[in-house]
Amino acid sequence: MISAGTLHAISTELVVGMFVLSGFCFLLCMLDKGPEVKANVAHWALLGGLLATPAAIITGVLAAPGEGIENPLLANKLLLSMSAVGLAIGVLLRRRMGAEVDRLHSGMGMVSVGLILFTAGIGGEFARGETLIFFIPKETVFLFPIWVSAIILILGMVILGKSAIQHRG
Amino acid sequence: MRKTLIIAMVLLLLSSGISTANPGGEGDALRSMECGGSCHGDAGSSDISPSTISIIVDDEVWAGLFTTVSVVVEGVEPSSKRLVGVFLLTNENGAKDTPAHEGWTIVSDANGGTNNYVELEYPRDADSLTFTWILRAPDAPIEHNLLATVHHGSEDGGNAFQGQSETIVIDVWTPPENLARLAADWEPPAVRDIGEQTTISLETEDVTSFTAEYRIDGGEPVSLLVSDGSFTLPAAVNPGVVEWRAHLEGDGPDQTTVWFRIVAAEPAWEVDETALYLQAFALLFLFAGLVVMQRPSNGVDMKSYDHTNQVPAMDTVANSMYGGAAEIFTQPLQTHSGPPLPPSGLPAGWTMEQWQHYGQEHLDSILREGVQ
Repeated sequence: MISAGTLHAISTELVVGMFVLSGFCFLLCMLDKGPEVKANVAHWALLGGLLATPAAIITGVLAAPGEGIENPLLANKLLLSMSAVGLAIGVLLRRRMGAEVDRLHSGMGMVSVGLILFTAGIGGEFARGETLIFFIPKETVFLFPIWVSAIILILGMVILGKSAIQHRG
Repeated sequence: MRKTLIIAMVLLLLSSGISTANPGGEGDALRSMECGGSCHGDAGSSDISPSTISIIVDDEVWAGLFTTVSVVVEGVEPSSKRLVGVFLLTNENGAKDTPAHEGWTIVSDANGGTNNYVELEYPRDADSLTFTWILRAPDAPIEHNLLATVHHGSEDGGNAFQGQSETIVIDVWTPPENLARLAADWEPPAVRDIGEQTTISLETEDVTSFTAEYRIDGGEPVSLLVSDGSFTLPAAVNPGVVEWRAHLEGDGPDQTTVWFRIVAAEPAWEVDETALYLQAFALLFLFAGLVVMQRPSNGVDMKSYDHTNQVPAMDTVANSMYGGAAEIFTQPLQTHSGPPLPPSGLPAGWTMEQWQHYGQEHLDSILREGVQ
C-alpha cells in the first residue's frame, strides 16, 4: 500500500517539474531567445502541470496530519495553488483564442509558475521545516468573508463566460 | 541583466543550509523502526549517536493497568533545529515493533499524543532530555521487551545520528484481584488548551475513596479537592505539562496511580473551511477570467515557427517559375498577331488592337519615309 505522502511526493514533482519547464520557456519567450518551439513547449508543459495539479492537491490533503486544514501554511498552499491553476487555465485559454505569445502573455504564464513554486516552497516548510523562500511571510492567511468570495466567484465566471461568447462571435 | 539574474540565483541557492534527511523533523507518528532506519540507517550518511539512552520503568507493572515509561537521552549534540526524535519499540526487527504489536496501549506520549515516535526540542542549557510515555500494560502477565532509539542531526549539518538503548525486560504481573484501580475502559485526558481548567472524573473499580494531587515540572505535589468523584486541575498559563495522580483506597490493596500527564498547548489554528474553499475557487475563476479578458492584440497570431505559408505551393512569386498555380498565373498568356512592337513600345495614342491591324502599315510608312 503506497501512502498518500508518497503519492503526494510523486504528483508534486510532476507538477513542479512541468511548471518549471513551462516557466523557463515563457522566460525565453519574454526575452525572445531560444528555439522557435519554446512557445509550444511552454504551453504544453503548462497543460501537463495543470493536469497533474488536482492529484497533487488531493494527495496533499490526504497526507496532511490531523483532520481538515489546521495550519495556516496549508491554507496558503490551497489559495496559492488554486490561483496558479486559474492563471494557467487563463493563459491556455487565451492562447487558444489566438493570442500572440508576447511579453504580457509570457509574464502571466511566469506568474502562474511562480505561484506554483511558492506553493511548493510552503510545502517544504510545512514538511521539513525549511525552504528557500524563508524570507517571505507564509503564516498570514488573507481570508475574505464568504459573501466577498461569492461575489468574486460570480465575477470570475461572468468574465470567463463573456470572453468565451465574444471569442465565438 | 543576465549576470544580475545569475548572481541572484546563486545567492538564493547559497542561502540554504547543507543538511541531510529532514532537519525539521518528521513529526510525531506511530511508526516502526523501518522508518527511522530508512532515514538514518545508511552508513554512508549516518553515524552512531554519541548520546546515552536509558529507559526507566515503574517497579511494579500490573497487567492491564497504567504504567510510566521514561526514555532519558543525554549527551546529544543536535542540529541547529535542536530536534531530537525517539522511538519506543518492542524489538530490533525493524518491523512489527511498535508497543501495540506486543499489546501495550499508548495512553499519552511526551507531546500529549498517542505515538511511539516523538520529537522534542533539546534545550540549550540542558544535560538531558526525557521522553515520557503513559502506557496501559498488556493483559498477558509475561515478560515483555522494550527499547528506544534516538535520532537527531549534527551541529555542522552533516551526517544524521542514530542511537539505540539496551533492551530491557519488563515483568508484567497479574494484579491482586481486589486491587483498587482505575476502570479498564477509562482513559485520562492528555491535552488541553491554555487558559482552560480541566475537570477529571475518575472511573474506578474496587475503590471506596480517593485523593488527588498535581505537580508542575516535577515540583512539590499540591492536593486537589475531590468532589463526587471529580477534581479540577487549574488552568495553565503557558504551554507545558501538568502531572496529576490519585491515591485509590478500597477493601483490597491501595494503589497510587502513575503521574498522568496533561499537555497544555496553544489552541489549534482554526479556519472556516467553507470560506477557505469558496475563496480558493473564487480566486481560480477570477484569475482565469482576468487573463482571458486581456484580449489578443489584433487577434493575429504571429506564429514565428509556422512556415506553412512559405512553401512553394503557397508562394505566388516563387510559383511563377513553375507556370503559376494562383489565378494570376493560370490565365492564358496575352498574345497578339500583329508585327513586333518597336523598342519604344506602342506609338502614342495607339491601342494594341489598332497595332494588330495597322501596325505593319505604320512600320512600312516609317521605312519609306526613311528611304526618301
